[in-house]
Amino acid sequence: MSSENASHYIDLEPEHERFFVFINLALFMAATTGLELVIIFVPFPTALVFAAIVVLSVVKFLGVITWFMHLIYDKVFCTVLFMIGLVIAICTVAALLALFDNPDRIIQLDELQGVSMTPMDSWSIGLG
Amino acid sequence: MSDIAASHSHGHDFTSTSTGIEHKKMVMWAFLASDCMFFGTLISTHLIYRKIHPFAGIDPVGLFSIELTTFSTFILLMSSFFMALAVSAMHKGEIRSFRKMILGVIVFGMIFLGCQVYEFYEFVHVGHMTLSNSIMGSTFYVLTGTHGTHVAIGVVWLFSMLVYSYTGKMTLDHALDVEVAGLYWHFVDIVWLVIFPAVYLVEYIGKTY
Amino acid sequence: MSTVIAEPVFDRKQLPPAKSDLGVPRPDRFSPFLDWLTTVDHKKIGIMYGFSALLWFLVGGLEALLIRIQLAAPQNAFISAQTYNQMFTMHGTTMVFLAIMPFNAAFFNYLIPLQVGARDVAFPRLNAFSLWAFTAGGIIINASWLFQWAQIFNWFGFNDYLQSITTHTDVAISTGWFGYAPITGALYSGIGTNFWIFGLQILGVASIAASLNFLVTIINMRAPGVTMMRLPVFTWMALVTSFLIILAFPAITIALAELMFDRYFGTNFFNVLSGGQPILWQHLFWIFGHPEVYILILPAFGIISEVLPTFSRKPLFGYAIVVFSGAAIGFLGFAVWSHHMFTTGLGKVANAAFALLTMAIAVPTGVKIFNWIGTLWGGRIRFSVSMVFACGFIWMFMLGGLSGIMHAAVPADHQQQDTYFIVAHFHYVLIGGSVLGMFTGIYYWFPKMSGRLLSEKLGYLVAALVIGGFNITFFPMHYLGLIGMPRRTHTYLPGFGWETWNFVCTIGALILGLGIFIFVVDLLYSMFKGRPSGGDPWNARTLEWSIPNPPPMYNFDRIPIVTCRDPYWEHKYGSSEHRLQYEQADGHGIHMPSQSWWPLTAGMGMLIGGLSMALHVPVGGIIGLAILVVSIFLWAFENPGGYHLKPVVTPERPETPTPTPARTY
Repeated sequence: MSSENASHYIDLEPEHERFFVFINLALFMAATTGLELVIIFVPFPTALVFAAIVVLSVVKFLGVITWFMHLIYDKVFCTVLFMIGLVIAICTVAALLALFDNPDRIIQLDELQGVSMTPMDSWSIGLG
Repeated sequence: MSDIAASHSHGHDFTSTSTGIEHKKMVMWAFLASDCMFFGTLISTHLIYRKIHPFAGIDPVGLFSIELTTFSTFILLMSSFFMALAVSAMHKGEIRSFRKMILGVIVFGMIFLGCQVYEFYEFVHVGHMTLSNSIMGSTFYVLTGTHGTHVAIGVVWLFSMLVYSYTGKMTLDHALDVEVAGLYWHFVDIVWLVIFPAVYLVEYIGKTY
Repeated sequence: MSTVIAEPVFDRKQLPPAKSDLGVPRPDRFSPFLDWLTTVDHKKIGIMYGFSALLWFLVGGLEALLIRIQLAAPQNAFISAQTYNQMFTMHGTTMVFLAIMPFNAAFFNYLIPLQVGARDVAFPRLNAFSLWAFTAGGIIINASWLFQWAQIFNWFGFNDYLQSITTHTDVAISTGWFGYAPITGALYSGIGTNFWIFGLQILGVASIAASLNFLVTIINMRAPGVTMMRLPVFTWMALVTSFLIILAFPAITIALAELMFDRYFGTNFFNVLSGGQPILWQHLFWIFGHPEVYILILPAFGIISEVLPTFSRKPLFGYAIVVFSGAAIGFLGFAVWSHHMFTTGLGKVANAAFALLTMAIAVPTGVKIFNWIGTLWGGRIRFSVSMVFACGFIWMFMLGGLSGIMHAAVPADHQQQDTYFIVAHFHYVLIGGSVLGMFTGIYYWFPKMSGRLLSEKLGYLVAALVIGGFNITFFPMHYLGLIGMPRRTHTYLPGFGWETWNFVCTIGALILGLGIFIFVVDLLYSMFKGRPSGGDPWNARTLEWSIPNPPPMYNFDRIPIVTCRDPYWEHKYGSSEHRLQYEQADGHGIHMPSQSWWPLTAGMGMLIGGLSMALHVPVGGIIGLAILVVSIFLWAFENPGGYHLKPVVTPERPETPTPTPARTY
C-alpha cells in the first residue's frame, strides 16, 4: 500500500486509522475467546455447542487474516494465494477424517491385549 | 514505468513488480499457504486418532487445565495485536514505538511458550502422559510441540529484529521485512486458533463434570 | 541500503574487492571453482542441477540394470534378496527425487527468467541454497550404500558400532521408495530408513524453497507486456508445478517427521500395539505422492508444448485450453491419492469417489494430447532429434495413460495392484513421459546453454535405442502383470510362463542403457567440440532465443517490451507493431546480485546434520543445525550488495540490442 521508495511522501492517515481497527479487533478477540470458554460449559445440546465453537473460531481466524495480516488492505492476489493453500488443506483434512469413519476396520486397543510382535531376525525368504 | 522497471532488480524494494506486491510479501504468503497443508496434516493425524481411539487410557478433561490454555490463547492473541501495532509503527517510521511493540510481542510470545512448557511438565509428571506411552501423547505433544517450535522460531526472528533496530541501520525500507515477520507471527497465532478448539475445547463438549 | 556499489565493469574480475556488511569478502571475483560454489546465477545453478541429475540418473540406471540382470532368469542368485530390496528402493528414490525432479529444476532454473524477460529469479541466494540442500540430500541418500559396504567389510569398525545400536544389518535403504509403515519402523528395518528420512526431508526443503522462488519469479518479475496469457506454456507448467510442490511436500514432511519420532522417540504414530494405524502412513504418503507424479510430468508437458510448435512452424493449438488443462490437472491431482490404496479396504464409498475423480483427471490430460496433435496437424514439420523425442513422448505417454485409466477401475485394479502391470504403467508415463520429455528438452536447449549442437546422427541413434529399448523392456511387463507376476520379489520359480518375457525385458534394458551411454558420451563431447549453433538454430518462437547462445551473465542487454505471444517469432515474421522493443538503459550499468558463501555453508550444515542424525550421532546433528542457523543469520545480515556490469558491445551486438539473427529456412 504505501510505497517504499524514498519514504518522503507517504500518506500516514490510513495507518493512523488502522490503529483503532486493531484495538477493536483485539478486544473482540479477547471477548470471543472468553465466550468460547463459557459456551463449552453451558448445557446446550452437543451439536449446537460444537457448531458455535466452530463458528466463533472461524470468525476469529478471519478477523486475524483480514485485518492483522492486512489482507483487506493489500492486493487481492495475496488472498488468492493463501486461500489456495487453505482450501486444499481444509478439503484434505475433511477427506482424511471421512476416510477414517469406519470403526469396523479399526482394531480397538483392548483387542490388542496379549498380542506381541517380534522383529524378524533374518531375511529368510521361502523361495528355492 | 520504464525507468523504474529498468532498475527493478536493484536491492531497493521498489514496488515495480508485475503485480504491485513486493517479492518478500508474496513469498511469505505462498509459504503460509504451504504451512496450512503442513499443520493441516498434523492436525488431521491428531483428530483421526482421537476419533478412532477416544478412550485411549488418557482422560483429556482430567488432564487439561482449560483455564491455563484459555489464558495462553488470550496471550497469543494479544501478542498478535502488538505485532500489528509494531508493523504499523514501522510503516510510520516510528522506530521507538516499533521497539516497544516488538518487545511486547516477544514477551507475550515467551509467556505463551512458558505456559506450554509448564503444561507439558504437568502432563508428563502429574498426568503421566508421555510421548511414547499412549497414542494421544504422541499426537498431542508432536502437534503442540511443532506449533511451539514455530513460536520459538518467531521469537528468535523478532528478537533479532529488535537487536537490529538498535544498530541505527533500521530504516523505513525495512518496514517490509517487519511486515513479513508479522505475517509469520500472525499465522502462528491463527494455527493456534485452530488447535485450541480442535484439540482442547472439543474434548469438553458433552462431558459431565 | 548503504552499500557502495562499484562502478560498472565488463568483467567481474575487474571489480575492486568488496566486503559484505559482516566484513567478510564477497566472492564475486574469485577463481572458477569458488565461483561455481558461491554463484547465485540461475544459469549456472541450472547447469549444476542438470549435471547432478545426470549423475544420479546414471546411478539409478545402474541399479535398474542390476535388477534386470537378477530377474533375467528364474531362481537367479546374482544378488541376494536384501540387496534386491535395496536396489529397487534406491532405484525408485534416486530416479524420482534425484534424477527427474532435478532435471526439471535445471530447466526451470535456466529458462524461467529467460522466458519471462528477467535477469534472475526473485531470490538468487535462496536459489543457490536449494541447489546445495538438494546436493546434501542426494549425498545422504546415496551415502547409505557407502555405509552398507562399511558394514559388510567392517571399515573402521562400523559393523561393531552398528550392532551396538540396532539388530538389523540393512544400511542401504531397503523399504521401497514409498516406505510403508510398519516396515520402516525401528522394529523391522535398520538405519537405512534413517538415511531415507533425513535425505528426503532435506530434499523437501530444497524443493519447497526452489518452488517458492519460481512462483514469485513467474508471477512478479515478468518483463513489460508479458501478461500471464502470453507466457510460454513451459513457464505456465512450471508455475503449476511450483504450486503442487509447495502444497504437496508438507504432507510427506509430516509423514517423515512422524516416522522419525516413532523411530527415535518411541511415539506411536504407526505402532500398532499402541493403536497406531499404518494405513495413515499410506494416506499421508500418497497425499504427497500423487501430486508428486504430476510434479514429475507437468514440466515435460511444458517442454513438449514448446518444441512441437517450433518444429511444426505453427503456434500451439489451443493455448488457453492447454494452460487451463494443466491447472486442472494440478488441482485434481490433490483429490485422487487413494487410487494407490484401492486394495487396502477403504470401503465402497471411498473407492467409488476416488475412482471417479481419477477417471476425471484423464480428461484434461487427453485434451492436452489432442491439442498437441492439433499443433502438428497442417504444420511444416521438421524432424529434428528433439522433434523425434517429442513425438515419441506423445505416443508413449498416451500408452502409459491408457494403462493408468485401466487401474482407475477398482475391480481391475484389484488384479493389477502390486503386479508388473503397474510397473509397466508408471515406467511408460515416467520414461515415456518424463525421460523422453527430458531428452526433448536437452536436444532443444543444449545450443542455448552451450552455443553448440549435439550430434544429430548420434541423436537419432540415441532416440532409436532409447525408445526402442524402453518399449522392449516395459511392454512385456503389461503381459507379465496380467498373468500374475508380482512386484518387488527378488526372484521367481520357473513354470509360470514368466521366464521368456523377463529375459526379453532384460535385453531391452541393456539396449536402453546403451542408448543412454551413447547420449552421455555425445553430451560430454559436444560440450567442448560440438558444432557451433549460431543464435537461433531452430528458428524458434520464444523470448529466450532472442539473446545470444550462451546468454551473457545478465541475460538481456536491456529488458524487452513484449506485445504478443511467441514474441520472438512475431518479431521475426510478424507485423511491425510486434517487433521487440527494449527499455531505456539507466546509464549506470546492469545491476547484478552479489554471490554469497552462506547458501553453500547452510547446505553443508544440512549435510552434516542429516548424516549424523541418520547414524545416531546426535552431537553431529546439533553441530549441523548450528551451522545451518548461523549461516541463515549471516545470510540475513550480510546485505545483498551487488555490482554493475556493462553490456558487452560488439559490432554484431551494438548498443541498441536486436535479437540474435535468425536462420532462414
